[in-house]
Amino acid sequence: MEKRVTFRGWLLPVLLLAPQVAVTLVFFFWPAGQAVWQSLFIPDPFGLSAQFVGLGNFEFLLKDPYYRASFVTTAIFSSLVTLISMVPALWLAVLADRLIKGSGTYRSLLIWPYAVAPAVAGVLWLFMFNTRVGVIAWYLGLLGYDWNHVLNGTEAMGLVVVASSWGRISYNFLFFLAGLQAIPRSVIEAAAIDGARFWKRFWTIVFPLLSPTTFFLLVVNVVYAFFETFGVIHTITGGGPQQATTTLVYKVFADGFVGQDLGSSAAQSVILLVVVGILTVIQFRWIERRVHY
Amino acid sequence: MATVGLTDVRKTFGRTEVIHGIDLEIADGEFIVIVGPSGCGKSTLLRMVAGLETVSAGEVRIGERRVNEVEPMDRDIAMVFQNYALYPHMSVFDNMAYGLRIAGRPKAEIAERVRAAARMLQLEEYLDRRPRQLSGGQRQRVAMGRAIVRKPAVFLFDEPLSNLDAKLRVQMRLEIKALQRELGVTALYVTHDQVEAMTLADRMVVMNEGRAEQVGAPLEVYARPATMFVAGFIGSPPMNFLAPADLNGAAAPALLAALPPGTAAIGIRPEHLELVPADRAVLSGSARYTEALGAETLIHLARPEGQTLTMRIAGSPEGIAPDAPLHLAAAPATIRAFDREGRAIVPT
Ligand SMILES: Nc1ncnc2c1ncn2[C@@H]1O[C@H](COP(=O)(O)OP(=O)(O)OP(=O)(O)O)[C@@H](O)[C@H]1O
Ligand SMILES: [Mg+2]
Repeated sequence: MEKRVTFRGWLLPVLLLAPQVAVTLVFFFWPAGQAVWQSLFIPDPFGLSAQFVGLGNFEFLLKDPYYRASFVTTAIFSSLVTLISMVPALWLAVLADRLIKGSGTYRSLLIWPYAVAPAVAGVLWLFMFNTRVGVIAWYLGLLGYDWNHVLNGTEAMGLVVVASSWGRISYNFLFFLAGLQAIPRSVIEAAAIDGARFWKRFWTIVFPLLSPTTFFLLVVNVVYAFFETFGVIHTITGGGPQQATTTLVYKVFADGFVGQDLGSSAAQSVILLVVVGILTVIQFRWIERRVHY
Repeated sequence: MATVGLTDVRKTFGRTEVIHGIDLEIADGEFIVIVGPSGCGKSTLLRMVAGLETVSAGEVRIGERRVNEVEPMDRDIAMVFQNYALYPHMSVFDNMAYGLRIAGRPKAEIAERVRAAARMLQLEEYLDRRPRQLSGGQRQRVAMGRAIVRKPAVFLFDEPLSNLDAKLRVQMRLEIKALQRELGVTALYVTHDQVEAMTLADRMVVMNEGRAEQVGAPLEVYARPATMFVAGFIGSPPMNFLAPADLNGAAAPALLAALPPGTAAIGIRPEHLELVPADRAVLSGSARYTEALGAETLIHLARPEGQTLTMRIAGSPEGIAPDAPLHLAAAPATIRAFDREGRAIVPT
């Protein structure tokens, strides 16, 4: 049976679509167009005039070792954030799904971190790991480990990854739990009778049936790691040390608003747009094919 | 192939007890049907045998081994669920092969056994399909196939036919029976359909509110129901129940004298009522409406005292005028007597 609604005239559908189209035009296409336009110019330091340089900004960027390093940083950062925000969430959801009594309390407790704003979460983690007053840094010191994310790039990366992932675990947990509870009990029971023990059932039945949820979360979390972690990076490391935590998005901000190199910043936005476009295509074309709906 | 034994099996959910102590000994290869109204605890009982619910008290044995604490996979059983519970992301072949693969059987043997089961169930053309590409009847067969390829000691069925249409249900009923005969596997089958129970069972267990009211061969249960509940539940249309005082025809005093002492109610099957002349009648009533089914006719009668009776006669007799008074009798041997608690009084 066709579930589509059909309209007689064209006025109503156009009216219904208009808000969505308007929002997309004003907040996406217009700025995107501006970015593409600006990426072709180098403005003077006072913003009074701009010199047309064609693809010069892009050429310069692609030769810039810092910019190339930022690509690698972004790849590492996004993969780690996605992984660390999804795997524990799935694990917790599997545990909660098995729990019958008290699952309400358990669930509410696990949801709390999501209510913490990213920048605040960043500050919390920063306090805990502060090299002079941080609780965890102090304990690490007792254990003989000299924690200093201000100087050590790897430690800085670890800290922003954990701070960015932490709150997301709650969000992912909610979706995983809903996905798990949508799997019919009897299918799991049938597998148990067929001889599959817990982990076997998990890998052969539960995980495949959960794949639409996992795929959705993968897309959402990659987008999050790219764009919404700015606040965390800004509060904890400010992109340092030596740009060790400068992701592509952070670099757009740093070069454009701090460095006032608007042409380069615009060119970076355009490249970012292309990267995200490619990622999305890969995700939908390649991974979605393996998803069982 | 194994025997199954239940000894005073009970189940409590929280504080409410839903199974109040069931005893049952099932012989090797026997087909047992558990029948009863919705919510009486049939599924719960079956799931305790499967190991999907814990046993609150009592003992479940499969082939002389106590299995209360044994995991479902170690009980050597297979189960067919009401909603089939097929693995939606696997082909029909993989659905049936799943258990064998986990058991680590060689590839060739798995293919062999799955194909044999598919042939038996006429599923050969569908082995590559996903469950959602099959009709309800085909899905049902796949669920059956998944159960039989593993050659379990016991089959458990929880209302496997209730999602099928009437015609398919009759067909599958026959197939299940034939399959079970052929394989000789002990079977426990839950249904709320008494026709299924009558046709499939070697012995049936009639359950009511968590108790087994009667266990026996179908015809035995039909002919000698142990309680008024069983008498009313098994048989369609159900048995007619009357108080002894309702018998007021010319021949009633003789019949009443023959009833065992303590009779609070009597039951007469619709087919045991017959039309007789007034001087031999124990009952009377008038035909309200008749349902001619071809091979038989059901006559629904209203009695002056207010009750309705159902009578079943062979063929489609002419000349039963609406509202004409009819005189009825039944052979004394066919009349069941029940005491105040609704238990059958066995004539001594
Ligand atoms: N998990 C549970 N928690 C609490 N009560 C339950 C649970 N499962 C079943 N019950 C109760 O146990 C009783 C028996 O349920 P069961 O599912 O065995 O009935 P059934 O005979 O199979 O009924 P149906 O023919 O409708 O399937 C019902 O009163 C039901 O409410
Ligand atoms: Mg049931």
